Amino acid sequence: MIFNRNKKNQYKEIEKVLTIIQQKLLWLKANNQVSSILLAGHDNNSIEIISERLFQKLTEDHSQSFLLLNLNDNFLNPEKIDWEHDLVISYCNDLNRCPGIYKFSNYIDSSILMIEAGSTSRTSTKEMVTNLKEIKIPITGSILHGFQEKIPSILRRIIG
Amino acid sequence: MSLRNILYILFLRKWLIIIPPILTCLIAVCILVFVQPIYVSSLKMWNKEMQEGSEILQVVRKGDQKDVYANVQREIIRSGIVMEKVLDELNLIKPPPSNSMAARIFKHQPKPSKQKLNESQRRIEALNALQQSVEVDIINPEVMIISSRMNSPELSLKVVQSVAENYKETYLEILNNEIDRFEEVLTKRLSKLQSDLRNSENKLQDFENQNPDIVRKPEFQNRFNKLPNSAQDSLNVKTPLPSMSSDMNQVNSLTIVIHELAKLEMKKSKLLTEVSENSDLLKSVDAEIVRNKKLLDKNMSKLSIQAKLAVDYQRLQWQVNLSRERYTSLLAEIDKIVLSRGTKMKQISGISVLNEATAPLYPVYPKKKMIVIAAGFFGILTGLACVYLAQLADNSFHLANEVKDELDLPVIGVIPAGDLEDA
Repeated sequence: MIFNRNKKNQYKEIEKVLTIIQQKLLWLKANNQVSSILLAGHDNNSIEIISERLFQKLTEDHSQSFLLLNLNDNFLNPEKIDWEHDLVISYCNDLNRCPGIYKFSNYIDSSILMIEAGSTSRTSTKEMVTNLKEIKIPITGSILHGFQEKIPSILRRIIG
Repeated sequence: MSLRNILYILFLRKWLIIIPPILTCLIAVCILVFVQPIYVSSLKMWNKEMQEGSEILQVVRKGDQKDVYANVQREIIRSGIVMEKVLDELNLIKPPPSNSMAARIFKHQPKPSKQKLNESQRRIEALNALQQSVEVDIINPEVMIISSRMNSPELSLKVVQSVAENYKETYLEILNNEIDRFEEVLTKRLSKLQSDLRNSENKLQDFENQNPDIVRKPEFQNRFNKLPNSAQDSLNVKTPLPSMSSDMNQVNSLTIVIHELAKLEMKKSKLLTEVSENSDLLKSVDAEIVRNKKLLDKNMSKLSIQAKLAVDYQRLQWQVNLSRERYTSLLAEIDKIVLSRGTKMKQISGISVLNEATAPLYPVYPKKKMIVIAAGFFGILTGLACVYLAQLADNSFHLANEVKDELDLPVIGVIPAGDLEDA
């Protein structure tokens, strides 16, 4: 777990976490486990920014072709999308209220749950997991967002 | 849940832990500002036990904390008589001014209660309040501690000193009243005994004048001048000489009965001062008297006129002696009671203060530090309880562990809270 006290360092920490996620995604891709991934949130406003930032980093750091899809847009047609990219990153802010996801279920290999710490209820998160299982999208892992960063150094030493 | 998780949750809900103790401490301080402080001033008194000359006034001392005398002293100290004197002396009918922190800081006295009380009701209220503020602790039957609880050190000192002084004064008054009452009763009894004695002497004198022959007989001279002290005495009456007539023998036998009667009468008069009229002992003495009188009357009828006169003469002599004896002993008792005034005065002067009262430096209540600490502690407990309840009610994820445990999913990363727009 990574924590920080001031804002400047906080950005760095977010960057570090994004790098870890980025590396994880690339590792999955390299092992042919993933070619298109869904970042699914529930009433999570930050998911769009995280997804865009991830996409930006991937594009900046690697010469491969990436595609970012906003599944919040219900008019998006999967048949009109070029799936030949090295890695397609799609996201939706609220999976439980995203009818468009059913159209994309056959095109997505894996998913990562974005959980807002202290905000997203366990019930709705479990509902999100059920929905993903129903449409047969495997879940690779989760990202917990909103963790309190301003922890005093003494406590930080104790809790990690 | 691990210690790490608990610490993290406590950190997350830190305001729930920080705010309640601050609030409770503030509330405690606000209350303390308006609370009347209580100062206790006390003095230790030694009430020496005095040996009383008169048996009537003598109080039997037990020597333990249940000692009646010591408990009576306590009740006298807290009695209305003493308290009323203190009330008037220190003018406590009007409630003393508030000594709370607020009153001292703002120099403003709270408005008196709107309840309208007349003078006597106010006095009763003040008296009750004063009685409740004065405590008497019996250390042992002779040593007591008098203490008063007031809202200022000066007032508590004045009250305790005034209570001690007025107690001595009142106690002396009570003792003198008691002596006066006894003296009055005994004097009345004495005058009655005096007239009885005079009557008996007159009757004896008349008898002697009317029956000079009986009086001149040597066997009746100085024979009954002394009352028997015991039953043995009554039996030790000289046996009649062989030369005496049979009448004389009978007279002598009846003398024993008269001895017994005299003895019983004396016993009865003594018992009357010690036990109630319905006591079994007194009843048995009465029965014995009746029995002896019957015996006397029965035997009297068998006597010759001369012998009857002799018995009557003895009886009259006994009556005079008995009345004289009663009169003398009562006179001695009155003398003792009169002397008791001096003993009582000595007793009062024997009440000494072992520890003088001083103005207390600090109030016994409220213990400000303790109350604030207790309030803070209570606040922390309340805060922890709130955290626990909030945690129970909270259905969201806070920790990566929770996600792992509940969803059985790996946590790829943990992104701190913050404005991601700028990141």
